[in-house]
Amino acid sequence: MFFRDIPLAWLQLTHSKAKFFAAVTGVVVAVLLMWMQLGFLDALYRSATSVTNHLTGDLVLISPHTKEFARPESFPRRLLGRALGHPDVVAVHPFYEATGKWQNPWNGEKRPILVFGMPPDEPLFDAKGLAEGWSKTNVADAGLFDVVCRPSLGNVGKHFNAGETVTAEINNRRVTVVGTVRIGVGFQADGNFVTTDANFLRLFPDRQANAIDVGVIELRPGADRLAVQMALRQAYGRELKVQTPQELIAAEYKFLQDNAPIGFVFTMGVVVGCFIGFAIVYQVLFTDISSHLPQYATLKAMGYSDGYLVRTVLQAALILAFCGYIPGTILAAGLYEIGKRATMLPMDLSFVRGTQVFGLSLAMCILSGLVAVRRLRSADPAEIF
Amino acid sequence: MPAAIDVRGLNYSFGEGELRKQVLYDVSLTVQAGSVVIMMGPSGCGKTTLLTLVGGLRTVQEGQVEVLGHDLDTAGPAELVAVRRHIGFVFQLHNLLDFLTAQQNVEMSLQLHPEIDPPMRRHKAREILKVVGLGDRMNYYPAALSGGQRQRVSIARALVAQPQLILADEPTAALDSTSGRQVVELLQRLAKEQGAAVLMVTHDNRILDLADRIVHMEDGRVLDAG
Repeated sequence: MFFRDIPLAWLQLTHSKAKFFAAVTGVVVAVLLMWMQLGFLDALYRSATSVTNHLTGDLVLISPHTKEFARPESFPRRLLGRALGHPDVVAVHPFYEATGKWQNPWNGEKRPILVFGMPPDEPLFDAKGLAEGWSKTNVADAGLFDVVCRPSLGNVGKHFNAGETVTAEINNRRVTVVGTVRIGVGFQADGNFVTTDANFLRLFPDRQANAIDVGVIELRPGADRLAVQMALRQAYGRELKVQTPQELIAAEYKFLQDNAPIGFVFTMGVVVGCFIGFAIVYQVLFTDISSHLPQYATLKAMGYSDGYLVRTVLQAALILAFCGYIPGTILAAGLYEIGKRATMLPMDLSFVRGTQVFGLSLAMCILSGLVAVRRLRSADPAEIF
Repeated sequence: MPAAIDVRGLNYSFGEGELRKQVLYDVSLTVQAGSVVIMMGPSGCGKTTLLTLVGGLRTVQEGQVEVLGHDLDTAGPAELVAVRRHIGFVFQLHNLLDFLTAQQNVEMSLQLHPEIDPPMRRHKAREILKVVGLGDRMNYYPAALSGGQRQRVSIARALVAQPQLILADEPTAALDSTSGRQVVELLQRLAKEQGAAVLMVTHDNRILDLADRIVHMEDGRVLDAG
């Protein structure tokens, strides 16, 4: 039935190419805004946990006061011994973490960098490049530089790969880059520097060796992780939190959603995008109906039902949603690429977000269609004679 | 053969309460199948109201209106819509959809009849446009047609589904005298060929000779119903 009929909505929308182009452009802008806002929001959430994502280990001990992994609260190292008392726990590794000031060796600018200090025999990250470079960090003031960093830190990767010796300062202490890793940055710092615990303590002289930030627990193969977790929770009570890395990531997400203003800011951006799209589509549909009232009334007189006209208006709304979504998404892909290079944030066109944006544009267009349809009531066939 | 239109004792008022104004008083009118009836009368005499009641565009308040065998005074909204599909309407203004070609505008009328499939629909639309002399203008948009040509498209649209009744409201009002007469001649000829009845409201004295019968209305009453 749909294909057999004269496609009234399509013909009406496209009769004036300029008007159609303007309407579609409006929807494209709205779709693009939604993609960008949702993309940045998700990238910020994901990047905030990019370090946590690379953490190895079966269970993680942190202070109950630690809300964000990148801003930890220290706790006494001796507490780790308690976990070792459990028969299924093979090892507990201490892990230091703090934000230092990296001085860009090329322009002298100081930027925040996250520094991780780990036992020399046990790198606690599972990141590309770590296995190759780790052994070289076992000399004073050496470390691995995360090349997935913001450009503000300088192009360390390029110079390092060219065979140059890259030295820079962290907290006014000279360090040497002995290798590169790929981890990813959040928005607390511009980059990451991975080194041994001894080097860490050299860079942060006010830190004590017995105050650590994270404990990483390794379990015996085949151990029941949940049972160990429960037992350790019992053992630590309120002193430490015992979480799986997944729980740690989830908790961090939740903390950001509840506390960081970014969620609100970007959601506002999405709402504004929806509103722009709504206003434009409504304007187009309303004008089309208004300027065709006698003709619509004539169709009613001829025997077309109200339902037919309502369907026509909604079809027009759907056509605009489709025609705006596709170019909007293609443009978003391009802007994502640019955004990714500029901010090093993980921005990808995911299927889930694609569905989200499509659903929003659809809802936006249908809603404007439903509001515009009310204008049809003025099409009274008895008034056209 | 039953009459195409049979109106008896029709009263109609606009408004409510104190503002209530009666516009039709005890109107009775019969239009036989296949005949052309012209209705004349001064502005505001109620002839257009009568036309909309006969066309099923307004609900009957009091009296009997039988059109093409349907009692409109007892019909619900859905039945009124169904009856309208068997009536051809021609308006003072052509009311063609500006984003459809002449042929598509005519097809809109046939699309209401699901038994006509799309190839047949296109064929019939092209045939009738040839008959009204627009065989070379079928893919033109209304904006590219003259006033007379547009009105001929709207006549093609009204007649293409072969309705048994055509209601026309001042079809020549927006046209010059020559094309006005041509259009009504065409309407009358096609109606005769199809055996359709025509009820036409007009002020145009030059076309009265095309009617089988002329009815005069004044102040909501039919003066000389035959």
